[in-house]
Amino acid sequence: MIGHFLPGAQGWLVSSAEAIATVVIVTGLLQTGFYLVQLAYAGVALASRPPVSRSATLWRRYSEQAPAISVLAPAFNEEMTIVESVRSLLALQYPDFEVVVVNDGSSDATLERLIAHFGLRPVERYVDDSVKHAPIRGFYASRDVPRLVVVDKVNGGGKADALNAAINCSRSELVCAIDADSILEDDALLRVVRPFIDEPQLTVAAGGSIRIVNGCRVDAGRVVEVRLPRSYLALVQIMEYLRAFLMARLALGRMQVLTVISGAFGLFRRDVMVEIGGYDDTTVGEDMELVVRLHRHMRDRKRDYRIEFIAEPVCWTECPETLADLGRQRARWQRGALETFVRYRDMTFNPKYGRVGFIGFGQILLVDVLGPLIEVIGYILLPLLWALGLLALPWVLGFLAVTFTFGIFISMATLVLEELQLRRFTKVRELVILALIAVIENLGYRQLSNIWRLQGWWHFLRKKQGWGAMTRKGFATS
Amino acid sequence: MDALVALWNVSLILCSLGALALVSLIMARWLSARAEQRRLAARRAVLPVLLGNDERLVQGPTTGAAADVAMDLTIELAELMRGSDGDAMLRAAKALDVPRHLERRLRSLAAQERLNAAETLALFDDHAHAAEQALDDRDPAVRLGAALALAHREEGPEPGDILRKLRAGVEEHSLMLVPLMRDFAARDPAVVAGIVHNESLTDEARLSAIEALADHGHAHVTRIVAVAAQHSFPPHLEQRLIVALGRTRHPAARGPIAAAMKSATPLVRAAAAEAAGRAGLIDMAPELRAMLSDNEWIVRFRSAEALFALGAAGMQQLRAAAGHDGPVARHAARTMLAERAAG
Repeated sequence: MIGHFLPGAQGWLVSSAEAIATVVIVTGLLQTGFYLVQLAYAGVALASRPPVSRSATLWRRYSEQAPAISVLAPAFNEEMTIVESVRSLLALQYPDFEVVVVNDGSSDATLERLIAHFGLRPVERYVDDSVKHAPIRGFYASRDVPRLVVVDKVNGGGKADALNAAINCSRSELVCAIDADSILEDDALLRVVRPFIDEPQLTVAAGGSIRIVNGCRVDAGRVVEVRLPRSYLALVQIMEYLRAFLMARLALGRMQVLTVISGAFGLFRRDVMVEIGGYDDTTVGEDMELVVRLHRHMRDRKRDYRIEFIAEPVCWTECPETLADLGRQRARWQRGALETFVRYRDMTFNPKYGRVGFIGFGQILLVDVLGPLIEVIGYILLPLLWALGLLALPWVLGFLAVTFTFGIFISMATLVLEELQLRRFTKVRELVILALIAVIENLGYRQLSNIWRLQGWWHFLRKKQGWGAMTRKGFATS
Repeated sequence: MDALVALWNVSLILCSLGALALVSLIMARWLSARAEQRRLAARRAVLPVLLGNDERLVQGPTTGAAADVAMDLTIELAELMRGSDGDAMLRAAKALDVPRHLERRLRSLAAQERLNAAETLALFDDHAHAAEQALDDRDPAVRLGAALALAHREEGPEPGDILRKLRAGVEEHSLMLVPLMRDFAARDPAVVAGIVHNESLTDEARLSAIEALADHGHAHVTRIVAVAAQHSFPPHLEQRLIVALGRTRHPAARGPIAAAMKSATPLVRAAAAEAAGRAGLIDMAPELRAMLSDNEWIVRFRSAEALFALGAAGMQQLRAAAGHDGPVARHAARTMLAERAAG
C-alpha cells in the first residue's frame, strides 16, 4: 500500500519491516526453544526424581537426623490472616523447628492479635547482629507456645529487612523464609529438607512449589479442600504458576542454574545467609537477588554447592484477583528481575560463572529483559506493517506461531506433565477448565501481562521505589 | 517464506498433539474415576480382613485388582501399625498372599513402587530376603530405603556388604547413613567399631559409624576418641564428629573437644562448645566462658548454652562473665541469663 504512494522507497521499507519481523520472530523462537528445553528437562527431572516417601515414613526416618529449622515469617499489616497463619506454622510436621514471626512495624493490629491469641509477653533474647536491619523494639514469647517467638521491629521499608532481622534472631542450622500470609502444607518442611539430608555438605538452598489458594477451602490454617477459583484472573495465574514451578524451576534446578527461589517458600543454610549478609533491602526482587548473589558468592570462592528445587512440598498463597493488584505485582516482579540483572550483568555469558552465567543469565536476558519489549513491539508493528503491505502473510503467521500457538502448546504440555507426574487436581472438571485456560490465556491475558512488564521496565528506568499494596480477602473467605 | 510457513505449521502440529494428549489424559482420568469407585469398594472389603485380627475372615490369596488393593493397604498400614497389632496385620496380609505380590512389584518401573515394596517386604520374616534385591536397585533412594528397612534384622545382610552396595561416602552422602549405622550397632556394635577403624572406607561412612556408636554406651569411646585424634576430617564433618564426641558423655572426649575449641572454623568451635556442654565437662567451664568473647555469635551462643548445661559451675561462670568480662561476653552472658530467667 505504502509502495503505491512512495514507489522509490518500497524496497527499503520492506527490508526494514522484514528486519523488524525477523528480530521479533527470532527472539520469540529463542524463547520458545528455551521453554521446550525446559519442558524436556522438567519431564526428565520429574520422571527420575527420588521416590516420594509418605509423611509418616519421612517423620520416622528424619526424627533424629533432620537439621533444626527456623521458619521466618515477616508480617506487615497482616491482622486479617496472621493468627491463622501462625497457627498453621506451629502445626507443621517437623521434628525440630521454631517459628520466628517479625512484625515489621505494622500500623494495624498484627502484633496485638498475636499477643492476645498466643498469650505472649515481652522477653529477652540473645540475637546475632551480623546481618543489618532496622532496630528491634522487643521480643515476645510464651511458655505455652515454646516454638514461637515474635520480633517487633521498626519498619525497614520492605520484606528483606524483616527477613534479615529474622535471620539474626534464628538459632537453627537452616532457615525457611516464607510469607506470613501463606500456608505451608503440614509436611512441607519434611519434604523440602530432603536435599539438605541427601547432600548435607553441598546444599545451600532449596525451594518448593507455590500454589494458589484462591478458591480452596481453608480451615484452621490448613487447606482442607483443593478447588479451582471462579475468578478468571486467578485461574490464569494457576496456569502461570504451573509453568513457572513445574516447568521452569524444576528444569533450571535440574540444570543447577536456578536464579530464583520464591520469597514465599525457600530453605537456606543459615551460616551461608549470614556469610553473604542476608537479603538486600534495596531491591524489590530480593528473592531473586539473593539466589543470584549466592551463586556469585559460591563461584567466586570456587566452592562446590547445590541450589535445588523440589516439586512436592507446597506453599499455598493468595493471588491478586483484580487487574490493578495483579498489574502492580507483575510490574514489581519485572522491576526486581531488571534490578538483579543490571546489578550482576557482568555474570552474563561470563565463563567464570559457568552455566549460571550462560544459561541462568541467558534466560533472564531473553525472557525477562528483552522478551516483553520485543513482544510488545511485535504486537504493535507486525499487524500494522502487514496492513500497510510491507510484510507478507507468512511473517504474520511466524509471529502468531511464536506468540500464540507455541505458547498454547507449552501450557498444554505443562498440564500434561502435571497430570502424568503429580495429579494435584483431583477432579476431571478441573483438568478440563485448565485445558481451556491454557488456550484462552494466550488471547488477551498474555498481551496484558506484557504491558504490565513494560510498566515494570518504566518503573525500573525511573528508579521508582515501593511495593504497592494488595487487597487481601483472607483465607477464611477464600 | 517457506521457513515461516513451516514454523506456523509446526506450531499447529505441536498444538494439536498437545490437545490430543490432554484429551486422552482427561478421558483416562474420567475412566480411572469410575475405576476408583471399584477400588474403594475393594478397599472396604479388604480393610477389615487386614485390621480384623481374625484370620477366619481371610478367604485365601487375592488376585488381580484385589491383590493391588491388598498390597497398597498393607504398605499404608505397615507404616502406622506396630507391636502385636502390626504382627496380626502382617499375618493377615501373608494369608492374602501380599508378600508374593510385593516381590513382583520389586520389578516395577516406578522407583516409588519398588521402594514401597522393599520396605514392606522387609517386615515379613519369611520374605525379607527378597527385599535384599532392592540393595542392587538402579535408584540410590531405593537402595538406601531398602538398607534402612533391612538394617535392624538380625539375619539381614552384612553391614559391610550394604555399605559397599550403597557406595557410602562415594555416591551416597545422606545423613540417613547414621540411623543405618545405629541399627547395625544395635545388632552388633563390634561390627560398627570395625567400620570406624576401616581406613579403606570413606570419611563419611566412618563418621556415620562414630555418630552411631556415640549413642551406644561407653564400650567404644576410647576407640572413637583415638580415631578423632589421629584422623583429620574436613571441617563440615569435623563439626559432626565433635558433637558426636559430646554425646558420648565420656571424659576421654575432652582432648579432641578442647582442640576443636581452637579451630579456625567458627562452626567447629560452636560444635566444640555444644559438645562440652553435652558431655558435662565441668572443668571446661572457664574455656567456655572465654568463648563468650568469640567474634562469631554462633560460638558465643553455643558457649552460653553449654554453660547452662553444666549446671552450677556453668552458671557461676556466666554470672562472672556478666559482671566482669569484656563488653561482648558481658552482653552475651547478661542477655542469656535474662532470657533463661524469663523462660
